[in-house]
Amino acid sequence: MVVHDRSYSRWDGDKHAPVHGVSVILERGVSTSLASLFRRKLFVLLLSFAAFGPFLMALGVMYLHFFFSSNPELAPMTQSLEESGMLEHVTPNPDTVWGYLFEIQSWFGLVLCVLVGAGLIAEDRRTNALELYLSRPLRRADYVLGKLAVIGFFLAMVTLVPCMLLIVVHALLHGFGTSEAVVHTNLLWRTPLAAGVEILTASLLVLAASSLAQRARNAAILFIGGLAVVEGVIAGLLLEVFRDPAVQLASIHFNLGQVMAWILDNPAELHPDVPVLNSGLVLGGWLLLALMVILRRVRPVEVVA
Amino acid sequence: MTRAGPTPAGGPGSDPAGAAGSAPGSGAARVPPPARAPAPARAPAALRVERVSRWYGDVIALNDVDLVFGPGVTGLLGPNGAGKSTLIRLLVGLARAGTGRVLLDGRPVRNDLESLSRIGYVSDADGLYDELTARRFLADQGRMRGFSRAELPRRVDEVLELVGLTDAADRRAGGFSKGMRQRLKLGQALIHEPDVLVLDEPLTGLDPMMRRDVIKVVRDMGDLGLTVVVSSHVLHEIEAMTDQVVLLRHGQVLAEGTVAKIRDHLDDQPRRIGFGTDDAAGLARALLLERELVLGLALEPERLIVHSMHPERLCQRVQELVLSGEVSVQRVDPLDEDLAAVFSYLVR
Amino acid sequence: MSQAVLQLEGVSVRYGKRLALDELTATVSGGAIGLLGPNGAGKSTLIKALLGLVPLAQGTARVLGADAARQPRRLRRIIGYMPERDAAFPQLTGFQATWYAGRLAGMPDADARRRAHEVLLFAGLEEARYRDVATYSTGMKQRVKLAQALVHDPDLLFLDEPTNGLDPKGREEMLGLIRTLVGDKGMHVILSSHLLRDVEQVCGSVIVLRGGKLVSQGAVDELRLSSDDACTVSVAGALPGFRAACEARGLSVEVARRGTVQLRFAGPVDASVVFAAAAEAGTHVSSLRPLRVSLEDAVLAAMEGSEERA
Repeated sequence: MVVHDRSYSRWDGDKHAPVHGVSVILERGVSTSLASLFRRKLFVLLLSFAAFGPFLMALGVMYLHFFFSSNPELAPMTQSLEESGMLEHVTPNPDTVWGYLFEIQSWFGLVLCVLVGAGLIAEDRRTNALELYLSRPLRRADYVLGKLAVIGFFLAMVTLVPCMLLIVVHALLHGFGTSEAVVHTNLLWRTPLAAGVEILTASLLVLAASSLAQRARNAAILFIGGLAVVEGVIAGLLLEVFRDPAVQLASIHFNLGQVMAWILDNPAELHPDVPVLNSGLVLGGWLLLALMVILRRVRPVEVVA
Repeated sequence: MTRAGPTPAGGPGSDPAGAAGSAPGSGAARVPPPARAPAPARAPAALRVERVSRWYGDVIALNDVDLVFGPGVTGLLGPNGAGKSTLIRLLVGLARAGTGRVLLDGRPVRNDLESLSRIGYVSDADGLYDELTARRFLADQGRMRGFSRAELPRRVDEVLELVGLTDAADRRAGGFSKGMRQRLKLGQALIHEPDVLVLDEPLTGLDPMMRRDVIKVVRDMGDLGLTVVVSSHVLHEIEAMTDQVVLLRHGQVLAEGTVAKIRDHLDDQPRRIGFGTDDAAGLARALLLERELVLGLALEPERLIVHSMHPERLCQRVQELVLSGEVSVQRVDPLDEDLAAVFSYLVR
Repeated sequence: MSQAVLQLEGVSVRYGKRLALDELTATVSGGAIGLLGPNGAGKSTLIKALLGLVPLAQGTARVLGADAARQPRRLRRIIGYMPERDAAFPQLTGFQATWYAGRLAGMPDADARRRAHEVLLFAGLEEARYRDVATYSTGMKQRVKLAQALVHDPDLLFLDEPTNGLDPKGREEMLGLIRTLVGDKGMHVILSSHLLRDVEQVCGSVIVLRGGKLVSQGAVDELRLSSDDACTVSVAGALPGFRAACEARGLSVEVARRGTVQLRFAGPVDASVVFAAAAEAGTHVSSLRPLRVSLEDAVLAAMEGSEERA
């Protein structure tokens, strides 16, 4: 054959190999999100700076301390560093980890939810991509898990990953022969669990908002607005009116904090009057609600004209 | 403003048979053909596009377009991006010309209430309010057009019947199928008995039955004397509505007139005629001698296609050959006569 | 063994109380099949049921041997679907979207990449495939949808109004692509369209739905019966003389549109009679065609039903 027929050719691949829907959606979702994030270069630069700032600072302080203490001549530096109180902040223990994950990095997590998460399903609704997804050999669950994985990935990058790195680095620098080692070992499995709960909560909530809207912007407003209403208005108002601490169960933020404190074995942050179990149940309820909303909005019937 | 006189279509007591074709509640009714009631013909309206150009930034949408649309149906054709939508917007006053003017019987169309009240427009965008029922929507349109509260219900009912939405009249437009939305838009354009009707792809989303009905409505409106301008990509449907066409390309008028006249003017293009025969070779032999008539021949199993610059003389010659018994021909098929052929030649 | 492309037995689909498909039974063999019917007849519902997007209330539907209710995902590997409405993966170029579609259909990454380029070229998107789909014109969006439906090399292609919004040239090209797929590449195609001319040009057989039921089915050529005793004629000169000459020869004459007449013979059409009549009237025949029922006429009758429902 000298002249080839290059119009349309048949594919001789395996048409029955398993479909890895979740990983395909994850990969594409992360690529696209990164591409759209990096379009606003200055902003992303500042954001990364801020998000990884605490991590880098902690890393720096840890290393400095290690460096100073291994060098007898720098004993005064070591002393001043220890006296300054900064060390307490960078030593991994239940309290600092809780603080890092829940009080510091959670804000950047929220920003990522708005930038990345809000559009994940909303944009698909806007361009009617759902019709394309659902006519592929995908399960609905694959689609949802894939989208969760995308926002989960970004959230993990600013919460779990830096946190684990700090723990591991600290363990490497200070060895395992001390009581600190026990703390480290515990933290090695408690931290992912706690971060996981945080990530799951944020992801499900933002995806629920995304599935309710037709555009990323609207989903973001719904998400932030919803949170503001629940946290500020409902929980705050109820607290003012009833002055009963149990009322805080209405707040997602509060419940999340409690549950994470419990997982990390950080009794200092547990509220004396509100049992963790209740917090866990309410939080679970919210997450279930979010999941139900998502599943309901991602149905073939929604797409059928 | 009062609306006097019998309406041209679907007046009381006219053509009940057409209305019987409605499936209850599904809105899948046929558009009943309007009765040829002896209504006074419309005042002939001349819609003039006077050396109009329009650009968007660097892009020119219309370039020195000069046209007149008179009574009857005129098809507006052209490839995508030719400027049809822009021209239509200018015709109904939705946009302003950069240079030149659009006039209706001498009055500019833009921002002129009197002119605009004589024009009915069906856009290809969706301009319906989802929460309103069909009846409510038409009633609002009617009110805006000046119908008094007393006349309104009757006129709305007439229009609903004309477009076949009587059964779905009290359902919200949000629940309508695409075809029903199109019909509602058509109703909105007709409610005030316009002298000019501008339709941008009016058949989109309609099923074959409704397409046929709407084509008939358009033809009838043209026969009544309305000035109708219809834009569509489906050439054979334009042909079913009218012979008059305007062909746009790159913002310029490429051709205007009847299909036959345009075809005739394409002097440099030879015509192809297919002669159905068992003995294509024999016919070819006989015709080869006619050097002036025949530019080329193509033999096919059941027919001979002849390329000629003089199609009529060719047919005359073939007829002579048939009658003299030399050849036998069962079919004569001019292949380049229709709009599709003309279009593809012009827009090559 | 040639398997039936589609085997429907008593298929019913409900939307709430409404019966969208009503015990639909049909067998369709290969090639290009037109799916016709008025709005609301159930065409989209049928396609969605075959893709496993809506559950069957009753009955079985087999596509190329696979049960649609039991193996929906397996079916979607071998079916390509081109939706009627605008549908696109957001923020992707034509190439990325098609590649993505291929991977979502289970193709390995490298194959999906390769084939994405192939089908995009086939569909006529050359330079444009590297641009964001949001910047595409209607015609280009249709082509990308076709490419996405073809990338995983389906055995059966569902096309829902594929020529929507295309200008005449685009329509010809799209129909040409479909004809290539059916004719040269042996792909089965189910074409749902309101433009019966398109269906006529591409499909070998049609099935007509109405109210969720099958009301007609058959080969296009059979449905378009040409009566062999009538023809449509136009002549160069004045009609009255020609009319008289025809009537004198025992033909019945009926004036039709655009200066043509319909002639009806007592027996089969004899063209020489027509030529003779024209010569007698001092004119010549410009066109002579057998009176053929167009698919439109044949199918409209089926769509409207002989009985009007009250």
